[in-house]
Amino acid sequence: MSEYQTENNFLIAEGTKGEIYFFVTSKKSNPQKPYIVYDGFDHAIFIRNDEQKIILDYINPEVRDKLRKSKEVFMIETIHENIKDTYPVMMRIVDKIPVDWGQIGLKNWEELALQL
Amino acid sequence: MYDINDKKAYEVGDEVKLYECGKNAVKTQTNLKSQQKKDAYEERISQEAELQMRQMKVVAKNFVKKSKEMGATKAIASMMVGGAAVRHAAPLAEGLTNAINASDGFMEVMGTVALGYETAVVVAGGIAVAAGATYIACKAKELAHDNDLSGKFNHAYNNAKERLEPLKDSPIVQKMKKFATVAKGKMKTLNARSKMKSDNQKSEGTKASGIQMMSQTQHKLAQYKGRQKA
Repeated sequence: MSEYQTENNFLIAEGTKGEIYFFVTSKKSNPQKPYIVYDGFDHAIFIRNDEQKIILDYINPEVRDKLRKSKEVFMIETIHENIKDTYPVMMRIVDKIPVDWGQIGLKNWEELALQL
Repeated sequence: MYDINDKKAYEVGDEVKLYECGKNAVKTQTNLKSQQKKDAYEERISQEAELQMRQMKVVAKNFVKKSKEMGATKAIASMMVGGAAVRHAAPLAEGLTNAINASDGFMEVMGTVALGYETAVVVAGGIAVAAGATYIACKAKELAHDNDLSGKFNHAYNNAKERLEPLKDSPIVQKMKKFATVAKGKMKTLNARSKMKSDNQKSEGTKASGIQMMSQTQHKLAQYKGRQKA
C-alpha cells in the first residue's frame, strides 16, 4: 500500500439534483481515466491515473448510501479557495475492497470517534 | 441525471448538502456531539453553582464579621469586604476568569475612588488568601510590581496571611478553599469549551467555502465538456 496516499480532509457535496461532488486538494499531473472503487463502507480508493492512487478516508456515514448508488461523481480539485480542475469520475462499486485498512493505520469512523 | 450544461449557478442558501470526510472530519463531528452533551452538563452544574454562590455570600459576610471580632486592621477588613464583593460580582457559573476580571475592576474602583491603590492591592491579596486562589494572588502581585508597590504588597500580604493563619483550618476558610477549587475546575471546562467552539467555527468556515466553490463548479464542468468535444 506504500504507493497510496490518504486525502485526510475533504468535502463531499450533494447538489440540488442529487449529483455528488468531491472537493479535494489539487494533485500533480493530469487525471487519466479516473475512477473510484467503493464498497459502501468507510474508505474508498480514487484511482486518478496509473501512478496515483488516493485513499478517500472516513467517508461521512450520511453520504455513503448515496455514493454507493452513484454511477458517476464530479471531482473538484482545489488550491485553497480556487478550483484548479473539475472532471467527472466513474464509480466502480464492489462488494468489498480487498484491503486491510488497519495495516495502513485506518480504522472505521465509529472506532476513531470513540478514541477521540 | 444531472446535466452539466445546466447554467444555474449555485448560491449560498441553495439546498446543497455538504458532508465533511477524512480523519479530521471525524474529530469535528465527534466534538459537535460531545459539546451538546457538555452543554446539558454545564446547565446542571451552573444551577448547582448558583446555589453554592448564595451560600458563599453568607460565608463571606460571616468571614468579615469574624475578622472584625478578631481585631483585624482596616486593611484586613477591606480584604474581607473585597473578597465578598468579588464573590458577589462573579457568579460561580461564569468561572474563575470572571472572578479575576472582577477583582481587576474592583481594584480599579477601590484604588482610584475609595481607599487608594495601595489598599486595593491589599484587597486582592486578601481575596487570594481567603479563597486560596493562587492565580489572583499572582495577578495582584504583578499589578503591585507594575505600580512600584511590591514592598507594600509583600508586607500587607504577609501581614494578612499571618493574621489569617489562626483561621486556616476553620470551616469558613475550608469552604472558601472548596469554592476556589470548584471555580478552578469550572475555568478548565470553560477553556475546553472555548477551544471546541473555535474548532467548530473553523468547520463552519470550511462549509461556507465549499458552497462558494459549488458556484464555480458548473462553469468548470462546462469548460471540461467543451475540451472533450474539441
